[in-house]
Amino acid sequence: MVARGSLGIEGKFREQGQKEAEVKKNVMSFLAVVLICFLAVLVTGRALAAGTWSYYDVTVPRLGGTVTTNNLQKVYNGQCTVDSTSVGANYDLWAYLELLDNTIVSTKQLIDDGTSISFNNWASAGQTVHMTFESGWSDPVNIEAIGRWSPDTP
Amino acid sequence: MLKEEFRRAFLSWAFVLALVITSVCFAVGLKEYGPPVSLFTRPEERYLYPFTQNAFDAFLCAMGLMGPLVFFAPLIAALPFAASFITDRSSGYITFILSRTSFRRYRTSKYVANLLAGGVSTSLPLLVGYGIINIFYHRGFPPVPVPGEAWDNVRIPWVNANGTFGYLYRTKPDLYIFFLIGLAFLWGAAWATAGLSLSSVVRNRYYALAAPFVFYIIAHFVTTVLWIAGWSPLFNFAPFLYKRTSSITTFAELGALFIVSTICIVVFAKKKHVYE
Repeated sequence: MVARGSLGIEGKFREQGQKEAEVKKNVMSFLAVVLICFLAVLVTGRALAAGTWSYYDVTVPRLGGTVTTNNLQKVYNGQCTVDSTSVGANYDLWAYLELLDNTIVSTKQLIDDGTSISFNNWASAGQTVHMTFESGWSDPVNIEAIGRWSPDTP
Repeated sequence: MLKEEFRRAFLSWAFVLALVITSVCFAVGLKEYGPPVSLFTRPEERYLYPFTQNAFDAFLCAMGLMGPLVFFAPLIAALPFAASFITDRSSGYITFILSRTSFRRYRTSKYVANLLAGGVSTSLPLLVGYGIINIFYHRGFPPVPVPGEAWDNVRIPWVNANGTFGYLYRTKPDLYIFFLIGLAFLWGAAWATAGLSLSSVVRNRYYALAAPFVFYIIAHFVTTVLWIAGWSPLFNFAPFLYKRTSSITTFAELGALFIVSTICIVVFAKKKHVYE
């Protein structure tokens, strides 16, 4: 009887221990999931906050003509970026950042096929800007430009 | 005779005007490029980008990437002395001078004086401008990024410049710029010779001055429309403006213009034709 009783108590302790271990395991799993979700949100959020690419496919008018891209809001104070895939007909183009009222807020940078360039500008976080492309005074043909740009540095 | 023609070519208001126009065009391009320190870099970050604005890029922008000099080069070259056959005739100077020397000596002296005046008027302001730029702008290039990375705050992201001898741009930039100045001299001389050859044929001095310029602009548009822009005289005056220029296009075109113009002077500038 005694032996049977002691066995019963042992069984109860073992059962309780197993339950505690299971709970601990569940809690740990939950914490791990929460941590992973937190990190995922953090990484994605930072990536989104760093700026997004906007794609362009524009035709720049001849003889110093200009064309602008769509408007985007700047997230950070800092450099903007142009990642040019191609500039047509063996020409180069000037690229520069402008505010909505067409105030120029960066120097003019020359871009060509495959040019990836980040450059300083005076636009502040929260301001809406666009990239402007300009052909040379001596370029007598319309020039197609394809690529992507960002008001920040993604 | 040669000394007299040199004096008339170089000590004239037309030559001074040509130098002024070249200088103004150069200054317009330089102004467009911007001052030695970038206005768009925050003062506390300027030490990070010492060569964003540099002397070599400044010269390229002033000469052609941002300035109007490439348009007016033939007009500037012809301005000092190219119409002098016509002015000598209308002023009666030719009657006076041919009583003292032979027509051949007169023509040769004029040819040499005009050639040098044209070349100097398109190149001397560039040489002086480059000297001034070197005083105020940093001499150096921003680094080339490793493959896959973006150029960081670079105005002209070139490893090699476009066109003729563009490989000298980063390795021997001074040599490249002196080549461009020398090329401007040769083109100026060639356009001035073309103008002189026309002045032996036409009777209106403004035609003689404007014809090389008109031909230059038309040839530029025609070659670009026909997709042979590498042969455009404008792109060969400043070869860094277009990728397809090469030493063949530049020197073949320059040589052809020079030879044809010289032959035209020899053939058409006869005493009878010029004098009457």
